Amino acid sequence: MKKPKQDILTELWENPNEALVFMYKHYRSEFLSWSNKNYGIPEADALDCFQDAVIVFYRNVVEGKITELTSSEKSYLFGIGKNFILRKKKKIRQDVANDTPGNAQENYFGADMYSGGMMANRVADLVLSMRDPCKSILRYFYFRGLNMEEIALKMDYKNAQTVKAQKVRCIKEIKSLVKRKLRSEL
Amino acid sequence: MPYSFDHIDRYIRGELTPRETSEFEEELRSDPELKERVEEQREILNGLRMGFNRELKDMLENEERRITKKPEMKRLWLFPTIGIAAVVTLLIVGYFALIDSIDTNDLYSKYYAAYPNVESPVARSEEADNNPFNAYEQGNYRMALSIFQELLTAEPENDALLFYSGICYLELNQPSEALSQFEETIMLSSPEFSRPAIWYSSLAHLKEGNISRSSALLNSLLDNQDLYSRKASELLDDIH
Repeated sequence: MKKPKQDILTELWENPNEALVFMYKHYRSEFLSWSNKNYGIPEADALDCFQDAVIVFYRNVVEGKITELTSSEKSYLFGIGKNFILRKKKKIRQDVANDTPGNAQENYFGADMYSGGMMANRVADLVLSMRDPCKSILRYFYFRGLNMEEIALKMDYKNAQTVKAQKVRCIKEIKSLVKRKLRSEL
Repeated sequence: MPYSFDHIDRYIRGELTPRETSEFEEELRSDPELKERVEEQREILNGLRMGFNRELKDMLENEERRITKKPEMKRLWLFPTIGIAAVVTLLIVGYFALIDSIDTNDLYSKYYAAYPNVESPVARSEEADNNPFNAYEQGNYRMALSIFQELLTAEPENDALLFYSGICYLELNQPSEALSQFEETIMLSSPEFSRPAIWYSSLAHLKEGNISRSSALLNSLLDNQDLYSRKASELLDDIH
């Protein structure tokens, strides 16, 4: 496999999905043998941790926590992965100690990156079935860190103001959907 | 209300100037209503982040499945000409590959049952010819579907029509069409059909071999204590 591009950070900004899959494939087997050697966790758990690490790496780039790589991207990535491994090991120990098999959600996701408060969970569930333009606008703005001008350009809107107004409408719609849903469950 | 959505948004994202922030926080301390708005908005933004994280996780899990794609051993019996020795060897090798793999189609068949007709009692009169629920009850899903779809053009937001169309698509082995009908049902927050629609969506994803999407939906059913939470937890146990 070819070496990852020097400017992985730029790649992650511009083509996150491709860059993430590339990173994943590029370091996957090295991470597996590294984690097996140092922490001896089952392969399925290691893969789960590695996937989360790749996502967190990306989040850190978008949220401005990484603006340049002082160490190599590999050591940065493996550093995040290590935290996930330690967390998982601790959780396994706790479950054994309490003799309870943690709840299904936690087992499946392994971290609070994927679940949270009741309302947040409902919103996250909605994301799966959300449609455009809301889905793209919200993804670009809140997840990929683009500004309104960039989104207007990408999505062929007249200007930033139009996108902004549409974004407010989308959030309002989500809010009322989720509130109705929560009320109907009471 | 003095503070706009956008202002709160910028506060949550840490984009206000230090001065604006301290002004805003002072207001927050004395205005419980504003505090509630901020909390709500924070939950929504958190939920969005979680949802998009889940999408990336799905993407990487799919990539992983492509990397470790396992040979499909089940179909071997279709080829009787393969020598028994070869089959045995393959089975031994394949056994280890198969232990932790899941046959999503088997799980689908185990859990799938068409949703009962609870909408319309089947009438025995002549008018009944146009009642799609008659066709539905008789298992004539193609006919039922075409009537449901026709009725939907007049009433595009009818949750029952959308939901039963979804079931028809599943019966006709078209899970992705089924999914879009269920998604619309869910978007309508139908009190009667939302949870069933989530359940059948998870089965449709299973049918398509997409375990992570299916699991995510099943997990979302666990909160309530009802038939669907029980079915979901049973199916999740089978998946893991």
